[in-house]
Amino acid sequence: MIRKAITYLVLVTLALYCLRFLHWRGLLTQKQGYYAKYRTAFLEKNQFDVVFLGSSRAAMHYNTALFDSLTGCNSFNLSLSGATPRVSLAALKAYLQKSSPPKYILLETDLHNVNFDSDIMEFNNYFPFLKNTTLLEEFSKIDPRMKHFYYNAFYSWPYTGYKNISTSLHSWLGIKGKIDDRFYKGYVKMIMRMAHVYI
Amino acid sequence: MLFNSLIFTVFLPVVFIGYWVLPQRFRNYFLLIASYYFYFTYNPWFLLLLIGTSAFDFWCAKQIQNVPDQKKLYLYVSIISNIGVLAAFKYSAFLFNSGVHIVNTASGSNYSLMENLIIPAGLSFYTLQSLSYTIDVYRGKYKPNDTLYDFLLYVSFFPHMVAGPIVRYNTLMPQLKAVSYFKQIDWSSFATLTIWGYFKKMVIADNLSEEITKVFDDPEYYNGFQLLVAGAMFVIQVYCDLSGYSDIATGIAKLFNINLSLNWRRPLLSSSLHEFWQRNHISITTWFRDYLYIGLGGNRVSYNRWLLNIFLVFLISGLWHGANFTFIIWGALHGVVYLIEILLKKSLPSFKAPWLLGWIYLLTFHTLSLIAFRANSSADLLYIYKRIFSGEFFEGNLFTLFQDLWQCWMLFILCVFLFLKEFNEEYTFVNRSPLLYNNLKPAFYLALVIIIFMFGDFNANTFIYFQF
Repeated sequence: MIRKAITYLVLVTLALYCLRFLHWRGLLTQKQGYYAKYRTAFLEKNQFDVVFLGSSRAAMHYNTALFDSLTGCNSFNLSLSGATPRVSLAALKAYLQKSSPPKYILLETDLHNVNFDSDIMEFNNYFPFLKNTTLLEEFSKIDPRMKHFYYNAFYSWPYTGYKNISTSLHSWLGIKGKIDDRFYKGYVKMIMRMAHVYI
Repeated sequence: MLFNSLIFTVFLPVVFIGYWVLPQRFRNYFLLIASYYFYFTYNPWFLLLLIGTSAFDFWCAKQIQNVPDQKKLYLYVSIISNIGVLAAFKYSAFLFNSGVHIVNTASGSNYSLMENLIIPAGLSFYTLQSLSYTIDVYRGKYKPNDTLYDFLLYVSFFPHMVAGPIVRYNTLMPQLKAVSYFKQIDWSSFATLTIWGYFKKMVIADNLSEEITKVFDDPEYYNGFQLLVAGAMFVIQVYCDLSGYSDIATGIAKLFNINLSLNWRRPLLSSSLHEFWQRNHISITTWFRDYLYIGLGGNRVSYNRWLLNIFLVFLISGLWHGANFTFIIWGALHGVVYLIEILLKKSLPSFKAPWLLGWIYLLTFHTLSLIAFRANSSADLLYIYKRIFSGEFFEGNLFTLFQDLWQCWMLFILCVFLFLKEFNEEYTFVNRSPLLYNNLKPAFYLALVIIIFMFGDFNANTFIYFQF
């Protein structure tokens, strides 16, 4: 009986970790979209002149393509959904783990995001990128569960959400998501329907 | 404390270990304390109500035995006290507000309405269970020779106390009193029932609930087709939520070597309303049959009175679900259609519709009637029925039912999966080959555990019947 129970437990554990590996792999290899933005920011070496920080308001309004064409700079929009200055600082530190320091940093603040105690919004989106040790450490200071999420598949799966799984499947199958084309160097072009869904 | 809450994952192992470590003579006391703690976590004050009502019923049952001349009086006292408590919590605001509406309409005055009271969790279930005991003692089915503690445990045994199944005295009490051994635990049934129950609740019911709530909160934004689809989704949600709870409760009871009664027998595969009520929420249906329908005279009355009895049972069962006209409409709809089936059977005794036709009829009717059950108000219900039955079935939608097509597909596949399992249980396809069955069963339940982790809603959503 006990042997059977242990066997089942091992099998479930293995399955959950294997599936999570495949799931994360899909997100990490996304060509264009939210996860491609996170991959660029947290797992790749970059040399951007300007980095924009802030919440989704900055992500949808600081147009990197337009900015680059007007200034001749090489910019990247590292604004994250619902990010307060505290989360933005954590993201910046994580960015600097692999990338060179930018010449300029632009931080967007507004009445909504000047809240230093707030949580990390859509924290499940960052799970695959916690292999960036600075991101893991910094985010863990804000939300201590992040380490558990990273190491424990039993804990992270329930927070993953079907939308995340859908994105991973799209990536594995080479299918573009509805809004993937709207991303350019971290900037995401807003449309009214998106505003309803994502802001 | 909910079965799908984090605290329950600590509570259950502690109770399980405590129960089996203790000597036999202390186990039921321990189980009673654990059950009361389980209930205490909902609302400490309502625990007093639970203890009070069950102790009072126990006293009434004793009096029925000890004072045979006045046994009718003590039965009525027990019935009135139980119905009184139910009415005070569930119906006082409804009755008061209905009266105020009439007065306001008639006199043009503007008296303010009363707010709904908080209903103690599981009130409708434990009062019915407790009441069944005094009625059975009155009918001479049992002798109330048990101790107060035994009776209190019978009413409050935590797996089934809050949302059923309602277990009869002669089913539960002998098991609670019997000497049980650790090695007798049916681990396989525990695992399969709880896994299947959690799958139905957390993966199917809770994921459907999100979409259904949006539709029924703002029905004016959806067209007739969308409203009908939302109704069909609610059929599956209700079934998965309620039967999921029963499966988990039955599975957990196995850890204490207790077999709870079968409560659901694949009602969504029925091909008539008559068959549906033989399979759906069996413990409640049989309770209403044994204590209300029989009490009204059953079928030992004139033909017309018999039909009236059946209709009244459905009407009262609708009212039992909650103090809202929508529940009464739901009960009345079932009563009327049930009577039509009886009359049809009488006039066409040899007629038997093909199963598929009957199944489509049953699901269509069940969907339409459950819309009444789910609608937030009778005005909403009227609006929804108008949209469904108007010629503009596909017109006038402002919102889409699913924001995400992937979610729609996922839920569809999971519902197909649910029906395949039900079909297999009904017609035993896989079970016919022991080799296939023995190999598939563990793989199937392992897959379910993984699916629960991947797609389950872990927000500890309450079970639908808790509000009743």
